[in-house]
Amino acid sequence: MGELAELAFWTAILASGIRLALSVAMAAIGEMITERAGVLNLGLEGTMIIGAFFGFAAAWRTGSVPVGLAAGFVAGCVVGGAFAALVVGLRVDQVVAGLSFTLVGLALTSFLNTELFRDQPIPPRSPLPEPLAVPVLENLPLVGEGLFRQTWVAYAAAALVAVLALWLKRSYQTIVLDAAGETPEAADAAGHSVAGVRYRATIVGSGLAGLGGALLVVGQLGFFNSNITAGRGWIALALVIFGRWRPGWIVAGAVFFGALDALQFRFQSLDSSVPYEFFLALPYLVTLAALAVGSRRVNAPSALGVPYLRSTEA
Amino acid sequence: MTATTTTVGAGARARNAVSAGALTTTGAILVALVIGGLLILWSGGNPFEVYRLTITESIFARTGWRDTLTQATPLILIGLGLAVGFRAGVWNIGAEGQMVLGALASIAVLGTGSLPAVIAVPLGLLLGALGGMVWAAIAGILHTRFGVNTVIATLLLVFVATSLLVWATRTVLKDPDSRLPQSRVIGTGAIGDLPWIDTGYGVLLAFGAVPLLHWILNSTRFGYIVRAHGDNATAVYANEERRTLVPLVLLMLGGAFAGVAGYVVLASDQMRVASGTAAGFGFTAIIVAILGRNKPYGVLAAAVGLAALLVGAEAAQRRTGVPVTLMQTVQGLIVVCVITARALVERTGRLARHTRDSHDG
Repeated sequence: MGELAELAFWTAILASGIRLALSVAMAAIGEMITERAGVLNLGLEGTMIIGAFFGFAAAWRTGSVPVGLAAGFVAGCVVGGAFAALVVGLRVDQVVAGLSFTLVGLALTSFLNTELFRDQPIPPRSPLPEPLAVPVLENLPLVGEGLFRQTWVAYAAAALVAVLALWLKRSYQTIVLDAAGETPEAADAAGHSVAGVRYRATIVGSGLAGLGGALLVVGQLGFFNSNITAGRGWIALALVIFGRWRPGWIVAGAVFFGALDALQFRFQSLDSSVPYEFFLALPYLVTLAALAVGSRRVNAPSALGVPYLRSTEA
Repeated sequence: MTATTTTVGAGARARNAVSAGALTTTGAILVALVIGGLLILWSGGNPFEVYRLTITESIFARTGWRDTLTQATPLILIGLGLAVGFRAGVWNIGAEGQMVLGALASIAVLGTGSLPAVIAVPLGLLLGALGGMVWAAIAGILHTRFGVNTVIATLLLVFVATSLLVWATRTVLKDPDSRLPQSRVIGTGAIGDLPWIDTGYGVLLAFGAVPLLHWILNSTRFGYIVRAHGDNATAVYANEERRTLVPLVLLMLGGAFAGVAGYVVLASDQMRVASGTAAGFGFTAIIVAILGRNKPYGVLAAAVGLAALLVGAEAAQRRTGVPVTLMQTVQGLIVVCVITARALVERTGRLARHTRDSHDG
């Protein structure tokens, strides 16, 4: 266990933690935008895997990573549009609609995967982005490897998350977004279309979830399997609550969970006195514990999950 | 006189609503099947052939009938438990894990001993119920004591249960005579098959639970609280029902049903606990409850229908090569189409009322 005292060990853990965090953080930021408008999207897992599949298929067909990422985003937007039509347009119960979207997403991508690649002799792979190290900074202790020895996709994704976080803090649209999720009547009275805001927030949020799925498959793995997102969408949903609907906290939580996951892999080979299955369960246990501690001090959007019915429609 | 007219009118309206609801659901299922047909066409299959095989192999073939009932049994059991919760607005999507814990609890005791079957089977049912109930209670306490969303809590516990299953079948519950990570066989705890339909006796339990729950939901105080909680939880709490009790009890009830299903599947079909024990029943049962409108007889119909679809799909895969994942997609599409259709019908109903009211006024 002497390894645990070494800086190099923690440097490596943090680096893989950040790598594991990126796709989940992207999906969680997307879900946060959707939820702040008042829409709970439990179809996140399904949206992520649809983004992952179409992103992979596009990257494989064209041989281009950017095209794959874009395809993942667009696929997510399309799914989000359909979801919004159901829950905003038709005011279907959001829990039911979200669960069914996740079921369709998981089954459909599994079906498409076998159909599309049936004639391939070996499981197809898409090109991976080149690693791009920042000179000097990459050798910083502890954070150097994690922050400055990644691929260009990881830098771009991190930059996008930062821009989104900043934009959400500063812009007028954020006030309208929050109004739609907190007091839709007020947003309506101020002349904003609550349905319009919710449509946009759901489409953009789902697009980011699709991008998150594509980041995982196109940006990191280079292959697709059934159920490849393996619960990341659910973790992202938990992260939104854990981060209390604030981008900074969500990103920090994602890195923390990522590091924990990385730690689990290391512990499997480190110490056999603790069963490795415990570390498989640990990310979920920690999430539950974090939710148990954090849920009391929530600042969840007041109108989350509540369809808005204008008084003239009632 | 007025009162009588109103009652008769209400009765007729209710009957119309029932048939309209059934019509909506049927129409929506047809739409989903057509979309599924297009997917089959795209994958190079013949939709009519695949659907014909699906129906003949699951309903008219003797083995199909048996398999359909075997698959439907856990779906009915879990679906019933979930439906009661959903009816009250208490979301439990972790039945998959609760089912695993039910199976683990019963094999832990029955896998070692040689109790006579008269004791072993009831004990297995009890242990299954307890295992699932305790697992669901964790989520229930996280919800009522710490305010954790039940959807997230129940779901995350599925992943924990899966790890527990892998650990248990690798270590403490492992069959020492086997090289595979699996438990011992259930032995005297096995349920046995009904004569001439070759389906486990568990199917009687499932079918028997349907009218029982129907009665409980519609004719008892408990059922009244459940229904009232779904319509307006605040009103129930205002009436001094303890705030924390309803979600906790309903989660535990759902867990107990899932745990019993875990034992039944173990003792009449799989015989051992291994990594495939829950086999997705816990998630499919969510669809079953939603399609069945959270009503016991609806759950029964949806469970048998979905089981037939999957059993038929497996036969169709063997014969035509169209993968089972297609039918799983169709299952999901059925839910999407059904909830869309129900919302559309409700919306047109509301618009019609609105127009009528404004004309009157």
